[in-house]
Amino acid sequence: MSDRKHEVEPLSEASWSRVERAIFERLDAAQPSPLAGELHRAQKRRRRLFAVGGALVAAAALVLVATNLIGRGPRGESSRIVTAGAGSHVSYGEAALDVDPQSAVLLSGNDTAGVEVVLDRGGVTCEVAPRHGRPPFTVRAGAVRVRVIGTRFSVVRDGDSGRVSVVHGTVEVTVNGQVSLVHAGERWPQTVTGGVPAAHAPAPSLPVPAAAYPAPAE
Amino acid sequence: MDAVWLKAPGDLQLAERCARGDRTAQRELFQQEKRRVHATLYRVLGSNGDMEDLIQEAFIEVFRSLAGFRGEAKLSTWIDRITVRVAYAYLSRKPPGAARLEMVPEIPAGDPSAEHRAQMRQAAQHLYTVLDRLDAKLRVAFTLHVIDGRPLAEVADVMSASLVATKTRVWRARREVDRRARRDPLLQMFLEDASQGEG
Repeated sequence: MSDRKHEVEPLSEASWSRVERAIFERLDAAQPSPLAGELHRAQKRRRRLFAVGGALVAAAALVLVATNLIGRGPRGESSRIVTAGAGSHVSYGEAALDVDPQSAVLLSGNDTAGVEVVLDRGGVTCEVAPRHGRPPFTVRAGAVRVRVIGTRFSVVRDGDSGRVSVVHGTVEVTVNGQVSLVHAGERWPQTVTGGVPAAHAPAPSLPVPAAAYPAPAE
Repeated sequence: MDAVWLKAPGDLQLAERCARGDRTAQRELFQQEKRRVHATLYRVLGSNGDMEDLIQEAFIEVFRSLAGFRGEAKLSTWIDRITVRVAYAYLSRKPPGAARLEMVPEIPAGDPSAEHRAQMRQAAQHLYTVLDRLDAKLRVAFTLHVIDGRPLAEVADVMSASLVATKTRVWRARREVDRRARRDPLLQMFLEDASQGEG
């Protein structure tokens, strides 16, 4: 911005968040989206955030979106998001995704049939409402498949595989048919002393009850 | 720095999706245009006072009006028009000469660039004090052309006015500002600085 002009005082991220929230609350109150009616209700539910372990520093954003449809019924078209210098924030059904810089994700499906996020490179943060028995929200990173049960977690692509860390709740990680539950505070793969990866804990035969997930603080 | 789209959806396509209530599209448009809307409002109004409410108003109006967008202009230009209308409506509601309160950042000692910025900031405050007393249309035309550096034709477009009317407004505003600047060296300096970019 030139010094000749009256330099614009930037707004804080908190301000931008308030503005965005207020806009979409007003839109939802006036006219719920016909394409994402459940999103309006889901926004009033408590959500758990996913933290993504990306190591890149944001500078400028480069985003590519081919198509993006959100609807009920059969799986909709896919959406591809590619970022360069900085990340990107995208809403997809009941989920909100923060895509890391230098990342590529492919989104497909919907809240009725299930959502799949394919992480080609980089990292992604997902904000997803608890599924409560609905079709799963899944993140794939190479050979790693992460199924959201109702948590806060991060997935980072690592070659043909991925790394997962769970901040809150539990996710189910499947690799080569072997299923592991990763709980809050745990990582996958998890290195124990001596640098030898620990064996993956087998998943329990029964689904983890929703009551096991404490409600996030307001 | 502006976001660069490798394969951006066309303006019309994005507008249609937004008009249908596609929240993803609406959030994309918000992220894409928010800083532009902020900058336009800031240049016209001179501060971030009430800015959150005004940006909100602008985007609500954008989303409400998008069904009427036919692609005859760039979407960003169309959004500019709405933003300017929001600014104009705000100025029309605001009592003239209302007190302007702003936080002034501390100037690090021995930092010439910071001192210069502080000086320019103070000069800008003098300018906007003068502009507060002008008719809103004169102020909008002047700030978009002289402060924001937009060509007169573009200013006319976003104000939905003729080029002649826009030139007249800028001229009238400039005349009043120059009159005040004769008694205000700081304001004079700011105008001389701004004039270097006028086209």
